[in-house]
Parts: sequence; structure tokens; C-alpha cells
Amino acid sequence: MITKPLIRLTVGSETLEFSGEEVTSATLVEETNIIGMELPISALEAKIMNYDESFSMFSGSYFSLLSERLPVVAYENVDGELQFLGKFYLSEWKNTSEHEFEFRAVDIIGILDATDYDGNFWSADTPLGTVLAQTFVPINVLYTLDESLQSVPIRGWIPPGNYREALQQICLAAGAAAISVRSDRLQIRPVVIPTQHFDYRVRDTDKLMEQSIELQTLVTSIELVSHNYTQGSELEEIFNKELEAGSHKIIFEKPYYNIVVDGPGYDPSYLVTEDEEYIITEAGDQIEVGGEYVFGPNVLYLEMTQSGIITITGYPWLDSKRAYIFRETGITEYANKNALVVDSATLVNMDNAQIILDRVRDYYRQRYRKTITLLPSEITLGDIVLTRTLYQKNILATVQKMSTDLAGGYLAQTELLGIEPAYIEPVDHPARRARSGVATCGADLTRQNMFREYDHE
Amino acid sequence: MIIIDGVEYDIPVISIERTADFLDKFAERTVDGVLHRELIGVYFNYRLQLGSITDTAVYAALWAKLTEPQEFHTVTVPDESGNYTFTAYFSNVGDKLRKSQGIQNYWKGLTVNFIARSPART
Repeated sequence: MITKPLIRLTVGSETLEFSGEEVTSATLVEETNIIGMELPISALEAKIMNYDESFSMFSGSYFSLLSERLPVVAYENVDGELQFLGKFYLSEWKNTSEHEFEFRAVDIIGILDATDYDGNFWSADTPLGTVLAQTFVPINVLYTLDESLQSVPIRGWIPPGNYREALQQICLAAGAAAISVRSDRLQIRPVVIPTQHFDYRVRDTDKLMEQSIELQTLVTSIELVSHNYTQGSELEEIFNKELEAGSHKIIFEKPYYNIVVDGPGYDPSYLVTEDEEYIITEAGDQIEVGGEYVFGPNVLYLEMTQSGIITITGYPWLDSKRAYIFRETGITEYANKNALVVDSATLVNMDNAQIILDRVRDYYRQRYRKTITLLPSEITLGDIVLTRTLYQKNILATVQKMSTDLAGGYLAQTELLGIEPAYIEPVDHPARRARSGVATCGADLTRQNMFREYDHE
Repeated sequence: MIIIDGVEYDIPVISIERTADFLDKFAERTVDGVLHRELIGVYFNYRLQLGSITDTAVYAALWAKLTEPQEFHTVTVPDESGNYTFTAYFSNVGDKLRKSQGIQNYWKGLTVNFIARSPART
């Protein structure tokens, strides 16, 4: 098998291509947390040997452009066939020698982390499809949403922060996993925690010798706080300040309703004719007849032609919190207490809290963390695999992290998190049926034995 | 006679040793004990031992070439069907003093390794 990376970097109107011997090292680190307790950033790191002076930090024509978040597309050429690895965005770039430079590019989650989010509030159940569209369409982030998640109800508040935090809140509440690699768009998929089924079986022929396994610390209790919003009846002053002329954006630190704004900065309306021509005075001025303030989700935009005092008042949505608690059973008196508290998930409400708590519980009950190195394969992040481990045991686990050496044979150091699958005992007296009759072409004559343990009579 | 960067040096070649070195991207065994590897290529590397000459100018020119602070050179060495030309870097260049006569010093036992830049076979 011959493998080599191909990296395409778009600089302005040019697409630069680095492949084969030019790429001295390239590592793709992909990571996920399938239930959204974290939202890790995946990254591509590469060192390129290049004699083109355009990449010089001092005289090069490209270098000034390389401070921007340029798109980087990565492939692995496996026996002449290109495998798409993902779309990344340049985050760091440096010359390590006169003929070598190295760069780091992050996935779309890395970009979301650096993009400010104003916050939003959904007072009633809103389908996940709508919530994602309201959140990501305005910033032109492409995504695919699994059909089964389309109508999952979302209700609650996402405070101002960044888009990565917003996505994490949504994923945790919706039971969705966000995976950005091996695709040119963000993939929102349902959370699947290993129980019985697997996508791939990793055999001894597929993985290298070292295969350490460790047991994660038992999470002895989980406290998940739900946030339930009701309309408060006391009027609050949200903002009262003199603002200079210019554009202003006022972000609300908590959700409000019946917001009233007093002062300049609204988008003015003018008198117009039936043909929508402005009516003007003898002095040539347009006739203003009031106007409207421009609101965004959880934000007020002001266009001030002159300085003035802005006063904003509104009624708050009050957050009444309620904790849902899970305590692990069968813990010995001397076991170390390892309590997990999730209190800032503000899309968790009374209707979805128990489901989310159960999911978080199932996730943390996966205690086997195993690291293997895979030969080139089709296994990707989020897949569930079954593999043999030490002491002749199997583990059924999700691929949590892959660190793939693109210039070193496409080997992937892979971190798995999972369980020891339940062994299904054979029945005491398996049914024995005579093999009789006429064998038809293509019939599997061994079927009876293969499935004997499941035959109950 | 050896040719470096297109220049012939009239100096006797006492011995040439040739090795074919296999370089891997990786060579690892899977759990079932089977070795897996991805070969980058096969590199032909040479070790030359050169004889002594009395023409100190030619010797000095060769020494200067072999110790030139340059990354790579084009060298021509013999193979089965004549000459084989490839890009290489020099390593382990060395000799020892044979005799001093007046202001002239004569050297012997000049050795050099030609390490191929690129694989000869992929």
C-alpha cells in the first residue's frame, strides 16, 4: 500500500498544493465527545519543505495573507485513490527554516470557538432543525442534520459567549454529536452509546502490538440542573447610558420580554407617496414619522446619528432551577466520591432533564479507555468498534480520538471509550433439529449451529 | 577517475563499496505477529577509498570539492553497465598524512561516503 498526503491551501485566488516528498510531516488529530459534555477542536498540523521564496516571512508575497483563516483541504492518497480528510482553516503559521514552514489548521469548531455569539432564547419548544438554522445560517456555517433529530424540541436560553459553546449547549440538550472531520460540513448526528451493535470489528490483523487499556474513575453521582423559565412581573432597567454617535450593539446578559427602548438610534421611517417616493419639505428634508429599533436574537442594534441617552427596560424571564440527581448503585463505603455537577446547561429543562441525565449516566458508565494503533482503515471518529483486549476480553467502544500520521503510513493512534459487552449465555438445552431436506443452491448449511444459542423452545 | 558536479578528478580508485538501503515509512507488527511496512524506496549508497597521487594540485581540488559547504552534489560512479549518476551528499570524508617533503604534504587513505538524496528504486 502506498500512502501520501495531499494538502490544498487556498491563498487569495490561488490554490497551492503540497504533496508527497514536500510534506515532511503531517498529523491529523480528530476528537469528539459524543454526548456534548465537551466540544473538542480537531486540527491538522503539517511541515512543508518548500524552496519557493513566496513563503518567506520577510519578502514573500503569501505571508501577509497567511495570517487570515484560509481554507485548507486535506486528502490522503491511498494507492492512487484520494480519501477526503476534511476542511480546515489556517490558525498558525511559521517559518522553521528558510526552506521549511509549518502550520496548524483547525476545523469549523475551532472557527466557531473564535466567533462571538450574542445568545438566544426560545420560550417555547422549537424543533432542533429551526434552532440550528437560526443559529448557523446567519454566519454561513454549513451543516447536515440527521433526519431523526430534526424535530427534537429545544427550549431555554443560550447565554452570550461563542458559537462553539452554543453548539455544545444544543448538542447536550438534543442528544446530538457534532463531528466536523471527513466532511466539508458539520455533521449533527444522534448520540449512540455502545450497548450491543458495532460498526466495525477490529481484528488482531488490523492493529499494532501495543494496546494499553485503563479503567476510568467511576462517577459516583451526577447532578444535572434544569433551567425552567417563567415570566417575571417586575420591570427591570436593562440599560441606561449615554452613547456616542455611531453604531452600537447592546447584548442582553439574561433573557427579557416586553422590552421597551427609549432614545435615539432607531431605524427611522419616512413619509412616502403611493409610488414609494420620499415626500420632502421645501428645505429638501425627508419627513420622519417615527421608526423602529432593530433587534437581533438577544441583541439591540442602534445607529446613532448623534449622541444621546438610551434607556432599555424589560421584564425578565426568571430561571427556576431544579436538580436531577443520579447516584451510582453498589458503591462500597470506601470508594472515592467522584461527583459530577452540570449546572450551566441552560437548554436543559424539566421535560428533557431526565433523558439527558440518563444519557450522561450511560456515557460515564463507559469506563474502559483503550488506545490502539490502526493500519489504514475506513474507521472514523464516532464509529463503534468491537475489539479484543487484554485477558482475552472484548470491549465495545466508540472512537473518541484519532491521531493519524498522514506522512508516516496513514497509521492512526486511536482512543476508544467503551464497555465490556454483555456475554449472552447459551441456553441450557439448545434445540437440536435434524438437518434434512434438500439443500438449495446458496443455502447456508451451518446456520443452524451458528444461531443455536438463540433458539428457545 | 571519479566525476563530481561534472568535473573529472584523475585519482585512482582503490575500492568502491555499494549498499542498497531500504527506507520505510513504517515497519510494525500487528497483534497477530505479522509485519506490515510501507517502503519509501531503495537507496544506493557508496563508500569510496581513493589512492594517493603526487599531483598535489589535483588532490587539493578534490579535497576542496569533497569538503565544499554545499548540501548536495551530482556524482558519477561505476555500475554494472557503465556509469551511474545520482545526487548525493558527502559524509565521513577523511584521509591521513603520508609524508612531508619540504613545503609539500602528501596524503593517503582518502575515503568518502556518497549518500543518495533520492531513492534509486521505488
